[in-house]
Amino acid sequence: MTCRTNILLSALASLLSFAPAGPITAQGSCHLDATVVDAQTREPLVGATFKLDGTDLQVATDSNGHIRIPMTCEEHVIRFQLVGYKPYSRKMVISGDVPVELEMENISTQIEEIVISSQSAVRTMETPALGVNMLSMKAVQKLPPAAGEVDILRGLQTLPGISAVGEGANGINIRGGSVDQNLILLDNMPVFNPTHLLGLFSLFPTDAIREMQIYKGSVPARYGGRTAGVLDVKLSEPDLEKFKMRGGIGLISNRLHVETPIVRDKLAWMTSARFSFNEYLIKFYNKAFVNPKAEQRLPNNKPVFFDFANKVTWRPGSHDNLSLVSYVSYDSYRVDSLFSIANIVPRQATMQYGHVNVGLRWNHYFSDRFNLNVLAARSEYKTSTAADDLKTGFDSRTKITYLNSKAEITYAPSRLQRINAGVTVTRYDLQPADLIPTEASSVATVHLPAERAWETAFFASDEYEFSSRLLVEAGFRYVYYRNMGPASIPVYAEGVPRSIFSITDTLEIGKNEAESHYGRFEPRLALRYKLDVNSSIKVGYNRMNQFLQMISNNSTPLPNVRWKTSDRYVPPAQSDLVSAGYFRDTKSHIWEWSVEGYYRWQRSIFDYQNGAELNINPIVETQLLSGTAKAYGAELMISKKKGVMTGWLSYTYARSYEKITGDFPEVQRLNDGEWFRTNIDKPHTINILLNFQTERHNAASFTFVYSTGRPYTAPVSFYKDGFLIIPVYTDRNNARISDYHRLDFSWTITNPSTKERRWEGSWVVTIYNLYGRKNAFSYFFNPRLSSFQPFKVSVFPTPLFSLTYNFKFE
Amino acid sequence: MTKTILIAGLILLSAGIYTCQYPVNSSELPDPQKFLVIDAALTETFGKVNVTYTLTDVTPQGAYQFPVPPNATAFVLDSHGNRTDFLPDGTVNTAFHGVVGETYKLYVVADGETYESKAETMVACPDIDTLDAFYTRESYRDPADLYYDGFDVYAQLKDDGAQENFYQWDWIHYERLASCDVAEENGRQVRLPCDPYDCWGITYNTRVSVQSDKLRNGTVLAHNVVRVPFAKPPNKYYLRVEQRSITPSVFAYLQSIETQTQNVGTPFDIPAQTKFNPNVFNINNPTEKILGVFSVYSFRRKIIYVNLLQTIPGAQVKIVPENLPFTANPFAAAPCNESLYRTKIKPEGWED
Repeated sequence: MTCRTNILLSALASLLSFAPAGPITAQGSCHLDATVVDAQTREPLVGATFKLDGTDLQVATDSNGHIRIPMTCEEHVIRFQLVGYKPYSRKMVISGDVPVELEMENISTQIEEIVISSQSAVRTMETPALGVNMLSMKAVQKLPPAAGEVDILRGLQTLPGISAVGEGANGINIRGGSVDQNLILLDNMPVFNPTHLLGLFSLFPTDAIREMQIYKGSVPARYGGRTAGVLDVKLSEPDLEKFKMRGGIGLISNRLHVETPIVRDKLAWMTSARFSFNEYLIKFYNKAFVNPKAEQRLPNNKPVFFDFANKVTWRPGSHDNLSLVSYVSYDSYRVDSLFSIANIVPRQATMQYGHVNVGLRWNHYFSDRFNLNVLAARSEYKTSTAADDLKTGFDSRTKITYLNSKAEITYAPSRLQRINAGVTVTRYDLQPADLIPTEASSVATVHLPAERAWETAFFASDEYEFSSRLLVEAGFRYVYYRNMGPASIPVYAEGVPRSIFSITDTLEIGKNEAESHYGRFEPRLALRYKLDVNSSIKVGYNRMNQFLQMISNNSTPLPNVRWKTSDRYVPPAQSDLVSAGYFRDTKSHIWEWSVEGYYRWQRSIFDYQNGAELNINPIVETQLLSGTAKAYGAELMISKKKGVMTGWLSYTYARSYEKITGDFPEVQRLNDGEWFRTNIDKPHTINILLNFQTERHNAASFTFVYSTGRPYTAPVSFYKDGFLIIPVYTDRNNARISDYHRLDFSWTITNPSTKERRWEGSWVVTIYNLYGRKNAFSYFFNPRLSSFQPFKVSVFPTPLFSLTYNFKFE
Repeated sequence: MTKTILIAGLILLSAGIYTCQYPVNSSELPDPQKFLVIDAALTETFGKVNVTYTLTDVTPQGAYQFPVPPNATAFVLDSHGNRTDFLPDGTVNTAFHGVVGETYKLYVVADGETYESKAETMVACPDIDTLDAFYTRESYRDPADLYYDGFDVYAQLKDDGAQENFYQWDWIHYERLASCDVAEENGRQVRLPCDPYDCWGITYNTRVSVQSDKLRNGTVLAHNVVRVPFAKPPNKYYLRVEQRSITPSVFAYLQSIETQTQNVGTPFDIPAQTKFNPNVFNINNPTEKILGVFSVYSFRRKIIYVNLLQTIPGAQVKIVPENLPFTANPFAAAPCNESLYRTKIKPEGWED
């Protein structure tokens, strides 16, 4: 398959290579043949920019960290730069063709770094991937944080094509995808709920994170299992040479990060913890500041959360690197009656949820051209929703256990080609719901049958540089999925919608039998064509399948949402995405701009019947309505990468529609079976991020966000039923909430006198929602508040001041 | 200085963990559409039908206008073909008696169109075995909130395990009125006692309260019907609870109303949806969107008095203040006019 692909790509390349190109030129019979690697992890660094002394020439390392440049046979100053890494500069005598390995030191967690950027300009030009953003932690840390909490998910939303249904949403939406359609990995371990406090803050331990990459367009073949995007968050490697400590005292949470060598240059340990204890602050605030005219929600709740990451890295030799990672998160929250379970609406419920993740990774470098990467990961996500109502008390529990092993090789037969291939096996074990009554409760004990499934995938990709202009990455992923017994599967009558009344029989599936299986082929293609040294065009295509889906009809999913493995009645969702883009930077690499367009269409997506019962339902397929979806858009981004003022401006035009007809359109279709806007359809979005750093101990940032209000379902009439005024709803998402905009400000002050000391402290002052706009999350009608008056729900409706003290000790 | 900044920041930051609700300009709503509403109920002792239209217009002053109801006639047929006509006021003759196990169909003729319901069977309603009030404190409320300390009233029944059952609860509260009007006397406002003395104020349930026996089939089923505030007056709180056995289509309809009118106003709301045509259809145009429901049910009632004079450790009974004094004129009184919210008729089971 790979060979055929290469032949096709070669033919395409030969056609395209007739176009004029701006050649990369240098004189002499020697070459700089270098591989640039991370000094700690020894991973090849992609996009590190080499600058030839005395010229304007800049060339980036390829996807294998390689660079090969013809140079004169004499001494040169070799300089490399890469966002998140300390600039490399060294005199080197270039003679012959001797390959060298250069190490760059990761500094991404040092907060005083000046450059703020999504990724390097040269890298943007060089790589074939479209719609890929790398965001270093220092870039995220420069963003004005809500309530002082540095937040990855909010940071990502400043990039084009990434949005959320609103503040406090449990996840992000990428190019028209729902939140469960994103694969979120924390050091290769999946995260099923990426937020703390019901969506207010993301759960990633910010002090421990090295970088994150988000794939919203071209998704490499090594990733799969989701249909929209991939967020790959990498924890930093513990320092093998010296002790480091950093942390912060904030008003929502406190943080402590420690890393220390155990055996110098061989073994090191890193731990990073974050925890909150702010209940008294909320009570105080409620008494002192709440506007009595605005009905307050989520009051006097008891929010507690923590997360705790550990990583041990062992480097037994120069060719091996092992790391053991664990991550634990926990949330406990007492909430008003937000939901019902089995028709019971608890007056209040205590919601607890969290992850327990463990991952083991082994990297072996056979040579600088060939390496092996072996992973094993276990991820467990549990929720408990307990209501203590006297006669209707219960504890509803859910659990997802994910086991994964993966082996992949990366081989670069030449500097022009890199092959990545591997196999991955995943096991899903789901406990969809256990309902356990409290002592005096009349609620029944319910255990929904467990769900088990295997997902095996083979993947391969070949990146080949046909010419200095054309680089193509073609790959595929083949997934074989089996949903396993034991299970009792209802058999439904033909010709009528599935319901409890149409069950005609029950099919018993044995313990090791497959209830259903699917084999899916996923082609992936990314192509870069350089127009000249400073501009390129790219084209990409992806197909992806998703075998584990979230079953939720809330505006944004609750943490205790039900997940569902694909089976004979719930086929895997499938998505195709084509995208194209034009990328350009200036000669000085200070300014960069890009424009990308995409079209995405999906099959086997689900919406829900009116009044669907999803939580405790053994035949949840009776509540689902199948359909298709499409999304398209254009994204413009202008970045300034260097200087006193850095930042970016992005504009996104994005549309997202779905068409739900069900299996029996005459009775199941929504909105008359026509295309209608999804609740994440926000046509216009503008993000402006500006960072000013005039001196090392002072930095200020502004973020401005504007987006069209998202659709919601508005009533088209009202009627009276007894003492109730009842709104009448027809088509879904027939109106929009008001537009969203917000300005944030952040000021970081570092005490200059501590700059050269081992202990260094800084204060971060933030005003979130500077002009206090009461942005709407949603509109609703409550006949108990006022007859016909619509209300809006606002999250963070007032200016939000915060003060955080950060420190580091090295 | 640093300490001051820190404290200020601590105070202001805590705004972060909350959401608020604000009124929105109703002009942002889509243009109204008009639908026919057919609401009918048939029980063992009475029947009623109400045929109206939904709101069609909003005046420039912001007033909402409901159109004049259509001229409509209605009747029900049982499974034997016996016909019972609804009277012009929407009720049936007092001689009518619904029968448990019998099946009924509703027919309505409105604006020249004929509407027919599905056949609905009256299901036997089990007795309310117990009606109990349990003291609880809702600590998430402000202590000044009337319902901070209160009593949760639970209805408990033994569900019939033979079939899936659906229940609805309703309640009514009577309270003897101390005064029936306010008048001005010597330049100040005073309360006037009721004439006659026996006059009761009426409070109705304004929530939908339904429950299926799903997951609890054949067991003892308890349902929290209402919360009574621990507040005086009165000294004892009269509550009459009605328990209904409803049909599946009515349950689904009421549940959709419950979802869209209660538990809303959070980021986690379920998108609003209306259940049209639960069991009534235009025979010439079955796709016409009809609102309302034809509910056939049997019911049981039980009365409970919640003792508000009791002493509960840790709980504080609230005294609801009455700011105005009574008139000094011993002959002054205000009539107790029969209305939706006031009656001279002694409530069923009333105890002084």
